[in-house]
Amino acid sequence: MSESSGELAPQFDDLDQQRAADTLGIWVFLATEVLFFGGLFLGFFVYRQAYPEAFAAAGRHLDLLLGGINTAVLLTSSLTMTLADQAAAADRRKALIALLGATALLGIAFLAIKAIEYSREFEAGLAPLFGQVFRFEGPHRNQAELFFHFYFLMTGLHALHLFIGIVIVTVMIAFSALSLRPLATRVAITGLYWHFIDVVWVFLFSILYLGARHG
Amino acid sequence: MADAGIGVYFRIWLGLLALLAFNVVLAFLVPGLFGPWLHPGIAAIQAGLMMAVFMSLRSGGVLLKLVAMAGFFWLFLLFALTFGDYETRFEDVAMGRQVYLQPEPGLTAPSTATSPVAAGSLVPPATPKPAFQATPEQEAGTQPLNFAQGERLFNITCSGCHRSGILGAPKLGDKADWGARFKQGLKTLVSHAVNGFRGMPPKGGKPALTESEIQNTIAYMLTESGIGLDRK
Repeated sequence: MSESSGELAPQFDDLDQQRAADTLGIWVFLATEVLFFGGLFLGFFVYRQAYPEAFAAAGRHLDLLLGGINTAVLLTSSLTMTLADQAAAADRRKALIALLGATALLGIAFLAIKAIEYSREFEAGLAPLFGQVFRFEGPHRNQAELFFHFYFLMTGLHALHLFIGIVIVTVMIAFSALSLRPLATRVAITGLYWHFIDVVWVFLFSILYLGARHG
Repeated sequence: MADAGIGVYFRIWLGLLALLAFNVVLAFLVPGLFGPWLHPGIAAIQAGLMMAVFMSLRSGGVLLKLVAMAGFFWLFLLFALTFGDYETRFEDVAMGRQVYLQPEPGLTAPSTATSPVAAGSLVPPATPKPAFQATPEQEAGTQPLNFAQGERLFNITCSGCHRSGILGAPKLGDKADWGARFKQGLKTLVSHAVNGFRGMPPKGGKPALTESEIQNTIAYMLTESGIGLDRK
């Protein structure tokens, strides 16, 4: 397998060692990402603990259907990404390009659905952004505004990560088409980043969209 | 990498979708089960599956697993220490369960008992029971309202909304509007201004302001609007 991943950089003994080092590198990066998003999650949990009714009331204004569809879209994109990884390791170029293309398209579909959600929330006055007046019926207006600050910050940051992921996958498609090497390791590392974005979303969905049904 | 058959990835994918459906259904069938931790818990199972299989952690070496878990371990410490702090504080304010501030010692609102309401039309308000009970000592220590400070702070911080009336703010000089609000009692008005209420941001967006400064500013706005307070 690893023979097909191409050249060996001078600082490594063999391709296996090179691949292990590359993989370790992206995981170190992902560990910092865990804490990057983790700080936001912590802040969210602290305020949800402080204002449980308000956060539940605010969460009911999110679109659970679109959010659920988006979760399924991202989980499916993780499947295609894994299959692309397999295709790259087996040096099946056509399958690789097709699967990477499917992954990128699923990522774009996610962003499109998210954009629909955002636009509806802006219309409903739920977006306390860009100087917009936050409109919220009910007794917990200020705390609900806090919820939506968290919502837009966390999902926005996630969307930015996903956008970067789509760009990287697109670059990988170009690499595959141009037969640039070492391809298998690059695709594997792209995949790790992609899966991580999906893991973050799975948690975001569970706290933002599903937490609303409490209380 | 390609040691396992492709089939396992499809089965994991189906499992992930099933867990997603399960999580959503639970939210409708048994809301509140296990408090707020049920849904993130199921998400954690999904995340574990994704990391073990899709992200190949199960076939990685010990070093890789340690590095991958390190981030989560520090995250666990972050949560454990933070919630260990919040959950063991004595004051209710700690978790914001009670956002009313304690009255500052020596400060007394010009309550209906001590201040003759000049505007005869104004019925002295039946003040809603405040969230805190002022002790007799606090009630006794009277400190006159500082209208000059109120005027100064009004011009710096409050005039933007309270002169023009944007965001539904009661305008300076609008006796009817202010009078209706004053019926809730000065303490309520101060509480709303301190904690935020509708369009009113908490402390007018200036966290450094003290409760007495805000009270002085409200007193200034009330008197300027023709609501009689005990002006000394």
